[in-house]
Amino acid sequence: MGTVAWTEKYRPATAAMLLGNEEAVEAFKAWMKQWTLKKKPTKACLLVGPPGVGKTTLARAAANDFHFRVVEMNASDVRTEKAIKNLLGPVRTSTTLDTFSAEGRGNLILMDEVDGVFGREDRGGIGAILSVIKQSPVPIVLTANDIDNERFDDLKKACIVIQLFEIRPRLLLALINHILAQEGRTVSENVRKRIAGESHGDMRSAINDIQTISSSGAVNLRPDRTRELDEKDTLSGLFASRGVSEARRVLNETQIPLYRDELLLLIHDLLPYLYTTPSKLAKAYDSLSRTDIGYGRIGASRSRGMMPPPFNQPRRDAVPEWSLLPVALNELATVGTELVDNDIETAMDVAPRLSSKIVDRYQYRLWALDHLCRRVARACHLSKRKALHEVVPFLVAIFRADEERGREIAVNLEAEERDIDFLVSESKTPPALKGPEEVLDPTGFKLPFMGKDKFIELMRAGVSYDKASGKFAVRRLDNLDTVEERVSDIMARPIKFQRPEQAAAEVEGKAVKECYVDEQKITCEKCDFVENCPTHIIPSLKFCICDQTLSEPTAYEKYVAKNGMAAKPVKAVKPVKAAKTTKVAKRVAARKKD
Amino acid sequence: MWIEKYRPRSLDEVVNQKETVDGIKALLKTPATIPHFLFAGPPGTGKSTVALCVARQLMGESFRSLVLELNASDERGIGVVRERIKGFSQIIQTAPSGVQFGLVILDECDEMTRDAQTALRRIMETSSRTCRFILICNYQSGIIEPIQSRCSVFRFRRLEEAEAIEQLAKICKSEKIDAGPKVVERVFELSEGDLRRAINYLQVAATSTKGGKLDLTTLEKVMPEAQGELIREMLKLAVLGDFMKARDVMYELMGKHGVSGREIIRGANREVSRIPEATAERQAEIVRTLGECDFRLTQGANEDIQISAMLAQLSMIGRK
Repeated sequence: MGTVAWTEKYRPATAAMLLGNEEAVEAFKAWMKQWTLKKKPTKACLLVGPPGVGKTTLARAAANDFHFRVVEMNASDVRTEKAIKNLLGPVRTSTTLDTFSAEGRGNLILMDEVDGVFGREDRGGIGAILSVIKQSPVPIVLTANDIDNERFDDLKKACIVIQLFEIRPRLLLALINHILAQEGRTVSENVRKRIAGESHGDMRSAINDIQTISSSGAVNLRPDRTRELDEKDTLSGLFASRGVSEARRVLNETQIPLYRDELLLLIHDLLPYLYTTPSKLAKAYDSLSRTDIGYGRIGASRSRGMMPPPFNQPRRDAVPEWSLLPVALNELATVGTELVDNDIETAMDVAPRLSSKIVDRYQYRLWALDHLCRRVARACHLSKRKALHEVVPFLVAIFRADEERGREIAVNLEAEERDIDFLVSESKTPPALKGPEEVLDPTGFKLPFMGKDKFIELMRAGVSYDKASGKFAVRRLDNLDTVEERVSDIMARPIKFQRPEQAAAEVEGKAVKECYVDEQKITCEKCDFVENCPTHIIPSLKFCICDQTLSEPTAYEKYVAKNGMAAKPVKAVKPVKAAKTTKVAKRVAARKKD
Repeated sequence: MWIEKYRPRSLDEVVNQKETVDGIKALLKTPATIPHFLFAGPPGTGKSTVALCVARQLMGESFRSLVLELNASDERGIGVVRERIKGFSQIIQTAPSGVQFGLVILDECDEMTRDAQTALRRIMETSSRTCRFILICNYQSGIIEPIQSRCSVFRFRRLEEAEAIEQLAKICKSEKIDAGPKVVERVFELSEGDLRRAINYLQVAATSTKGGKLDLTTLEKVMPEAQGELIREMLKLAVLGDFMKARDVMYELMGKHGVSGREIIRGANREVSRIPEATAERQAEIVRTLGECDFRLTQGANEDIQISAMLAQLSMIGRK
């Protein structure tokens, strides 16, 4: 036994067997129900959520419940407009002719991972999907991991968006217990708990893990996740590795794109915090420098380095030589060969992201400088570079000594008002950021009057202004660090924002879930999984399961039973007619067989 | 700026570089047959000034509209050569003075890419009837051979102290500044033979004096925070083994002041001898490290990584 993947074996056939996301399942079922009525909805349904939470399963199971036949498209299909029309055209039109009986209501189009539709190859992909949605007489279900991008705005409008969240670890544990009981295997509680906690709410990976572990017999083995290494794992793997080949393996598995110099810059920021011994640091930096040269030789476009465009001229526009990448990566593998002086995780916490931040921080200053240099260069027959080094510092000094004289000279140089403003501000050397820190509420704070230029800079830095209340607010709370620095820079004094974590902490204290099975209250703080559970801070998710239920071996069955109270009995779907099977349907059928 | 105000407007006003200027003057007697020029020499020795004087003499006062003045280090790609220079060089123009060709002044040519120079070489040949070039560079070696052979090369030498001081004194006089010989000497010393920089120093110092009396203390006080000092600071910190602080200074130089990696190396090379912390032995090692880093920078590499690597290397030298 054991040839069938448990993820397939235990894939719910009906929506009632689905675990977690109770609210989303209800919403989806309500939408499906509309399609069985006379008046069909005009919108498609977009299921959004992280991998492995059951988006596709939900669509398939609900389709099954309502007797729709699923026609599936995967992300791997090329999604040019033409391809979509070719594939969907026949499916769409044939539905009305298709076996419209009591049981089989027709087709349901399932498009997986629509957030993969983009880029040049998929030109018109989203447009095509939209036009299909508008004309479609059959339900269309789309799934996506992340639609937080403006290019999906139109799609969102054309769909009912249902958000699915990570599966709570306690539910996962119930499922794991259930599966193991069904299979007659045992795995120690520690391992079970760890899998439930560390799979990030990903049901698929949790089930895969438990299958691997229980089949391999190594019951205490730590699950070896095949997931690509994220930033943290890559870096710690690289520096923990003994020898080049091990490091090379880490590089092979990282999810950080290696065709850009992102990883290089990450290491660059980290090195001085890892190595405090000068010789080790020098050695590591030498490796990094060689890697960097390797990337230079490849000749692909790089990150912009320290300077914004005017000072950062493109190097050359030759065709990149990707065959040289392995050479560069071998060099990179030697970066972490020396034993680190400091703990990697601590280093990652303390090391500031300088290389990327400094660019943002000084960007506007450098643009202003560039503008001025252009003026000076023209008037003094110099290059911009020379103007920057030979004239601008002197101009600033003149402004510092005598602003009136400076203004005269600047006007003679045909400098514009903004250049003069810049020179004035430069000459009043901004004092190093001193004074007591101000802690502001990022969702609404007041600032003293600052003048137009600074105001514009603030707007650019990601701050919005509400005229009515006279208050500023940070537009996006996820990059508070950067905004903080810029605002401090612009206002020339240290400014701190309250972190949303502080707010989150308050919620955490109150986070209470209700047991889905017996309605007992559960306090998230007391739960073993509180650190791993991604959903305890989402108040709209009301349910979990309590300890008492979880301790019973039939927790999963109870859950499903509760879930299935309203569900209809399952009827068989009418078999697909061979003559009408499209390519896609064939594949679906083939998959169903095994 | 005084550097513009006191820029000589004709070749006769150019007082130093006598042999060079005389040679140019002789060629300009028959304007129709002048060759392409290549001016080479250290910064602040009058190359651009002479080029502008030549332009004025050939084209008359309104030369700016008849001359294409490009700064090769700003616009050094092959695209610029192909589009702007080629386009300009093929138009037959007649200046009010009767000269029947256009003039292209290309400053800082040694910063041009090799490809661009090769393209330029072709253009110099094909457009020799409609256009003349004045190429200006610091290092003649940065210009490809074929271009050198198409130009009459004029070398500009570093200014003699006496010549420079004479100029500075003249400026002081016409600006009504009372500066003693000691002050003027100090200005020259600070400028390292670069007349442009010397005049800039003088102007800054003059701005901050009250009543036209300029003394040494004012001079030292008002000197602009030169990047040289920051670079020295960075070197010093690195040699003392404080990598983190050195790197902070590097970020300030690059991020805040827009200094490029190569300029940091160049500056560091100048400053090495001024760091008391570096013994003769160490100096040799430091210079070697700088050279290595300079080479790596030319390999199309990320500047802050390379400079950081250099600082790490230096801080190791310091701990030895």
